[in-house]
Amino acid sequence: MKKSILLLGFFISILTPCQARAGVSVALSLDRQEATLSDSIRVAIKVSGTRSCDSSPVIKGLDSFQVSQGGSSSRVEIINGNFSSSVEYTYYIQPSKSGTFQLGPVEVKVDGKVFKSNISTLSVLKAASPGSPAKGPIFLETTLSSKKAYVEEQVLYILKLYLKTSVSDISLQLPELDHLAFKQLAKPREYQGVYHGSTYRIIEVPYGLLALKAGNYGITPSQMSMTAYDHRKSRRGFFDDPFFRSGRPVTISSQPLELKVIPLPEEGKPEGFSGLVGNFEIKATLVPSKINMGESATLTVSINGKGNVNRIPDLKMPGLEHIKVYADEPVFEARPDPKGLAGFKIMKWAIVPEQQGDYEIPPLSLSFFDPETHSYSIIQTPKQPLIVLPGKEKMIMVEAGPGRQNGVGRSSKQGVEEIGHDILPLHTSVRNLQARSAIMSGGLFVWLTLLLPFVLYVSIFLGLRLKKRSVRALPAQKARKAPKNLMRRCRQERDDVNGLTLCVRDYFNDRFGLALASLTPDDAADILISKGAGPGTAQKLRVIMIELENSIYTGQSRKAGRMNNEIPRLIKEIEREIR
Amino acid sequence: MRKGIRLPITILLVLLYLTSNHAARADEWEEGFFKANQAYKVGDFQEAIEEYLRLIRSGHGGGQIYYNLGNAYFRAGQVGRAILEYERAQLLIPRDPDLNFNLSHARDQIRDAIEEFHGFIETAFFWLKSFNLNELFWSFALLNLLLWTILIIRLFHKSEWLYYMLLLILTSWFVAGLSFGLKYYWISSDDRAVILQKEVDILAGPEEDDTVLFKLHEGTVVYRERSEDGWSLVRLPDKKRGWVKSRAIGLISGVLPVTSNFHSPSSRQRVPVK
Repeated sequence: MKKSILLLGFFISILTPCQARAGVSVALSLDRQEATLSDSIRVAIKVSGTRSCDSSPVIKGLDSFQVSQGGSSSRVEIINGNFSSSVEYTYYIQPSKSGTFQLGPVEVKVDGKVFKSNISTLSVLKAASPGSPAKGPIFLETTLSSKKAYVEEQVLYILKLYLKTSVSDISLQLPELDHLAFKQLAKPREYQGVYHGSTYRIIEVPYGLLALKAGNYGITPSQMSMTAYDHRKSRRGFFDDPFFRSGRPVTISSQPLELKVIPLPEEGKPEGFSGLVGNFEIKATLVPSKINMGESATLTVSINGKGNVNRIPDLKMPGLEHIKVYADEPVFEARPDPKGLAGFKIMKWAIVPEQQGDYEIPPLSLSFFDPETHSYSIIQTPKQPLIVLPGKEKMIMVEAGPGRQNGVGRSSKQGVEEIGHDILPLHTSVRNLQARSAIMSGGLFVWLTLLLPFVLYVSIFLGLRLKKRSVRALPAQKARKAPKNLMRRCRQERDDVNGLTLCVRDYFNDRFGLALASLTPDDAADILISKGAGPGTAQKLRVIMIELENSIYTGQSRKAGRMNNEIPRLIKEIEREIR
Repeated sequence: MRKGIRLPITILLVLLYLTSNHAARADEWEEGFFKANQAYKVGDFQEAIEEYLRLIRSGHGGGQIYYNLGNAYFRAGQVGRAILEYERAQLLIPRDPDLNFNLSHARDQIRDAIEEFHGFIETAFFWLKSFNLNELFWSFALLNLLLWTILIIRLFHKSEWLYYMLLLILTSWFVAGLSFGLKYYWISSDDRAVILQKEVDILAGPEEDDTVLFKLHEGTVVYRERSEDGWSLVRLPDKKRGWVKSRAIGLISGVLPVTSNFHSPSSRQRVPVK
């Protein structure tokens, strides 16, 4: 009984959520009283005496914090028959400046009534200085490969995330500075490492950093946001997965860095310098080096190296006497590498000599600034000898390069160049000379061609319909002609009693659409009566037919002559009656 | 001679006469064609033009002749007339690659940059331009014959495959018929004309002293709306309109046999080619 009452009470409590609003209270609690700038503090607001609030709690004193929601939960408890319900809101706050802050009171509205919480104090200390051994379970560190660089010299910006706890949903915000460009050089690399005696899981991401203008750059901290999960050694196993744990949002920043960028020296700057900074090499091949007149050879020049590879210029082939040169589209590819940005450019020319003889393809040069030697370098291809033997003057097959796609060593086709414009010649065939074809010669022909199949179809269709109709009309026609036929046959079968009997049967068959093989006198009388003839007339025919039968079976054929006259008369009477 | 033999012999003689007369005329036309071609080859383009025109006037308006005439005009430096004849040839031999190349080449010589207008019918029935009226007619006639043949067969024998065949042919018949009808309509209502003079003034009205609205140059294709007293109201694809002397333009379907046989109900004036 008591259990039933308790159960009833429980359901009532569920169905009446604000039944205990008289005892509503709000409590604000922090998971710590002291924190650093990089810490994320858990703020819990417990509203007791209700299971729902009119709106979200309003927390005062959060002006200097970044706030993110951690969810809410409601609870109903029955302890020794006493009901209690509460709802708890969780927030995570991260201070944006140091100092001592008063958090609260929290204002909660329940059934239109405002309830206030207590006030908590939080002291925020400055973050530990870089290099200090006192680092938290999560921190971010950035390094530059050099603090001083030339304009467009590639500097490595290494970003390392140190972790002692599980994290997810990592997002990165790189510094945004004018004239500074970041390029990720490789995918993030994860490994174990020791930092000041502690083992960390380290995630490393290399970036190439290029300064486009000279000056002193203060590189602002990079920021990483993520969800961190508390690491408790006691809770191992299946439920240790982040999916089953509640995480807290964390935002961490790296330390600021400084980079001094100096301009490239003007001294020794080669003419037409493209701004290429790094370390490069150049190679050239001429294939084949011996050709016949009318053939072509391919000169391939490849430049590869590390640095600002997008500045590799398109080399120009100088004008050569008695040689036609067709340049192919250069192929360029940049390959990010953990040690810096690298790449190559391949240029190809089809060399087509116009005369036989020995030629020399002049060297092609490339200038760049080498930051390691702090000087400009000029590299060039060797001279390429080309021997042209006499040969037939034939269509030049340009083998040049192609590298438009994958192309080292692949031959390509060259677009056909239009040299002249003119119309094409006359048509001299006398075929189709006459414009007036069968169609054009007359409208009648056209209509006949189109209508003839239709007319044919209609004719056949109508023919079939007519035929069907005539088959259907045959019995009526027979019925119409039946009396005449009978009279005619009676005249012909003057002395034949058998013939007269058959005449009467055929009359009945034709007149009434029957298919009788034999007709008895009684049947004949019945048929006549059913068709509307008078009983007297039917009886007369019956008598005549009995007489005919008697004549047949007795062999008295003399009566036939008399019946010849009687039967037609009687039939006329029948016709009158049944019409 | 017996009466029974006389009639067949007479018919035979008449037929022989007609055949020989036709052959003689064919020889004459071919001779004219060769003569025109020869004149073209030796560079006497005016003579070639006259010969081709003579052939056309005698009823030989085949696409080849219009094409050759266009070539002759082009060589004679009359790009406008060349385009006119090429356009006429295109109505008869629309897929001829030489013709399309030459027409494109001639169009390149035009001074006026006017966008070609494509209406809904031209876009939806894009294949119409690739077939001449003859081809579309015979396609339709063949499908028409097939359709009625199947319908006749179905009067005697009905089967499932015949039903599906009928549906297929009926659809094709409809498309072919519609194409033929549209082509016929398109040709009979073709108001395109080509400017034949080096430069013509397009006026606000059909009077010499009317305001000059704009100028057009040889070879430009315009649409003729109507003609009055030796003047034609022309329209450009961008809706500019104005009057021009009728002798300064040539109607593309002006002298084509197709329009004379498939007679258009409209009583439009036809501008002579020359």
